[in-house]
Amino acid sequence: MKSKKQNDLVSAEPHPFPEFSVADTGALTEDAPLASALDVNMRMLKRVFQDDGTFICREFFSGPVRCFAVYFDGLVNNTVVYESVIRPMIEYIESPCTPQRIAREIIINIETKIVNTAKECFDAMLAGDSVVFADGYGQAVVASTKGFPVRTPEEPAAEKALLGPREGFTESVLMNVAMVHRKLKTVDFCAETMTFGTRSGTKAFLCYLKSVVRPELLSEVKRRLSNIDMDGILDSNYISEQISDCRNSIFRTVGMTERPDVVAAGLLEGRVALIVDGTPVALEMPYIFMETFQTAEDYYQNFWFASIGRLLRILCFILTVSVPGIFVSLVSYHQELLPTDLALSIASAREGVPFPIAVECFLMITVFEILREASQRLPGNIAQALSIVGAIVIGDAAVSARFIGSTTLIVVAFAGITGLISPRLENSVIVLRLYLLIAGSLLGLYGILFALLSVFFHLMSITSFGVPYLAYWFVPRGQDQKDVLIRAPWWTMRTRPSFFAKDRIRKGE
Amino acid sequence: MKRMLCFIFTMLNVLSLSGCYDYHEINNTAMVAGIGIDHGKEFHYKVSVEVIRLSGGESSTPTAKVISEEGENVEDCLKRLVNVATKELQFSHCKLILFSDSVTEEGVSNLVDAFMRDPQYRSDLFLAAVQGSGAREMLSIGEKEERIASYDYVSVIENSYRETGSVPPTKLYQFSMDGDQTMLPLFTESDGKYSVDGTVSLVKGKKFGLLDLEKTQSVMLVSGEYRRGELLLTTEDGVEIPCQIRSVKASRSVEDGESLSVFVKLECYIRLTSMPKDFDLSTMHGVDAAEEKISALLSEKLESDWQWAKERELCDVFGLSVYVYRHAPYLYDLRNAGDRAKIIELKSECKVTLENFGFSDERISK
Repeated sequence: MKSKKQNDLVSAEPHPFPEFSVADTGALTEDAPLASALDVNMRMLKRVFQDDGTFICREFFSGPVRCFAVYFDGLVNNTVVYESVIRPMIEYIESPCTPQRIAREIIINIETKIVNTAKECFDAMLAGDSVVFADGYGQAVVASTKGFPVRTPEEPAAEKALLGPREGFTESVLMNVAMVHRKLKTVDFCAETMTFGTRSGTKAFLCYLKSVVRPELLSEVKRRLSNIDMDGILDSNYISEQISDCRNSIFRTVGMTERPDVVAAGLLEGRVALIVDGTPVALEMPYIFMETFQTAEDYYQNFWFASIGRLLRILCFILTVSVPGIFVSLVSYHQELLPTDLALSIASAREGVPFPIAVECFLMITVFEILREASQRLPGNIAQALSIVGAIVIGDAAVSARFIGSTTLIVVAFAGITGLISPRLENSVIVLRLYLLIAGSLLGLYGILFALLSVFFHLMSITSFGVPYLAYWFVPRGQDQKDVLIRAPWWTMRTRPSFFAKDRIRKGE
Repeated sequence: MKRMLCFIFTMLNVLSLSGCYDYHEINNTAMVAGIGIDHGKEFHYKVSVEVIRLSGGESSTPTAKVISEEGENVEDCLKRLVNVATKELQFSHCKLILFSDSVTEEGVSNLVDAFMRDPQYRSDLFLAAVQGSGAREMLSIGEKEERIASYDYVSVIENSYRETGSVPPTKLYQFSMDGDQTMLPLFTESDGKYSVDGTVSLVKGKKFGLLDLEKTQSVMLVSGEYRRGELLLTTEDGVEIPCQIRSVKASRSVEDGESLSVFVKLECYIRLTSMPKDFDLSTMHGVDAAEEKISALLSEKLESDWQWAKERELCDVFGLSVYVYRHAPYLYDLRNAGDRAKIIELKSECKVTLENFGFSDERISK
């Protein structure tokens, strides 16, 4: 039975669609109902999408009834559209062809939905669905015909692992959620749908295990996500930067991963994950400092090797950050602390070098970062050529030409290599290394100490969704220490981390 | 705003309390390897420094040159040296201070004290004396032979101490700690080469006498500084027993009996380097007898060396009076003699354990 409003719309001429407005922001602000006259609906759609070359409007008769289907080329699977929507409609000759009959009897092998407003039609079309209109009805049928190209899951380049799963997220959010869901076959698994961006309409899923996650953490995450006001969200980092606790910090307080196994492990520990459409990078919350030294592989190999690897990463982080600064401060201010042979070797290598050691170090670090940045963006074969140029020209020729000292080159190269061992801290390391270098150049070891303390205080002061960023470093509880500096055997880790989970019992559930 | 002010004031403090004033490029400084102190011709002192020369390049070995200046005091000499040196002198890697014979006779306490108070010198740099030639001549050997002589002399002292135990490795801080009595390694020249042939005994910083390596060994055994080395014992019959001390544990105590004495107890592990005729180390009893014999000879040697020094008024080189003063000051005060060292007696008890012997014990055979 038609409502009074719908009757008015049918009888009223001209139809209200000419007055239908598209707001300046690009979003529909008026939830206008559909007209029962087919031509009015068609005119409205063609006017709205007149500048979009991918918009397709296909007219046909279903028996005696005039119909048309609209969709966007490239967003739909054309075969599905013709075989499951248009062909059954054309072959249907019985009358009357109502939207309800189309949804229930004609289009039978794909998901359908009846919509009443123009906005619902637009949303469906933009999401890759087809919308079928029949003459004489103020309703339309949305048929699920999504079929845009999707990349197959590959091993993430930034989080490679020799052991363990090799799959990584893709740009399809549904596929990504499915990958996580496949690892957590439990009714506890929740994936709440969210949409971000008034123009981009980016779909995202907030995933968590409802019996494990702390309610206050979940509500805090939802509150921050709801405060995001942006017209376009093209990557998860758009969201990450807006929900971080300390937005000006060089340290991440929201985790990012491309691996479904990492997300699944995080959810099992009581974390919340946000999987965003159009990007293979999922967000993890909360995220603490210690996680930057953890890799997925730690959990897939023997705990001894995993622990050694983790300690090595921590050591390398300390070295890569501090070695250039300490080297400059020792050579410039505290030569008495150097062993005599080393002091002689450094002095001998620096004979005839025109720059002060601090400038030399700064230049070499800059060159190293330029080479690294260039090689990251270049294709493999050109990057190889670049590394050869870097090694020969910067390494050998510059030392031979007395442009730099060989010891400085060794120190910078050592700092650079040790910095690559923790990819998650790569960007922070660049800033910290320069900070300590400047401090060491100006104030010697006193400056290094001062800089390290300031970094430490900063780390102590920040939190990630209420969890201290240096959580577990200073917690005396034995259970919490089993996955911090070392990775204890699985059989000893009976509880989940205390800061994250509501239900802490991991074993014996 | 409050945070910003805090930050600004902190930075102001940091920058004003420290800064780049002590910044110096390592290649713009001339590292000094050793210092030699002689008496000058025009002025009182003549200070020579051995400066390391860097030729640059990856495979080049550093050489040295010696520059000297005279002045009324050491500080004055060092200031004058700045005008001669092409680069800023850097003393933090200086490892040796050499005193000439005449300087040690005059006294080195004030000189050492000045070096000790200056933070740019390492407190563990070695002190030594040279006899027969000047300190400058001794350092100049390196310039001729294109090596760093000071570091080589330091290696000689360290090796001699480590292997023979007969050279005291006296360092700058030890000189201050040892008080009135110190021994310095003594280098003597022979055919243009310098070697350690004994020690100079300093009392209150002044040269008191010379000791050969054998006597130095006794002093170091008594003082507990001996580690290991060759030892030659001689029996009453004139038979020599060469042996090697592998390790020593010494303990001292003050005894107030009929005479004020210091009791020294030594536990030595000894290896015989050649077998004396009257030793029978094939049986347990023979080993025991040999151990007793060597123990007695060692005790006798220590006590006789003590007597020798005492007769020559060198008794302070053993440092026993200092030991009594530190560990039994009440006794030291009671015996209010003029020269306290003369009334102190040395009593020693040695327990020697032989390491290299072979015997057939009946029990083992069974």
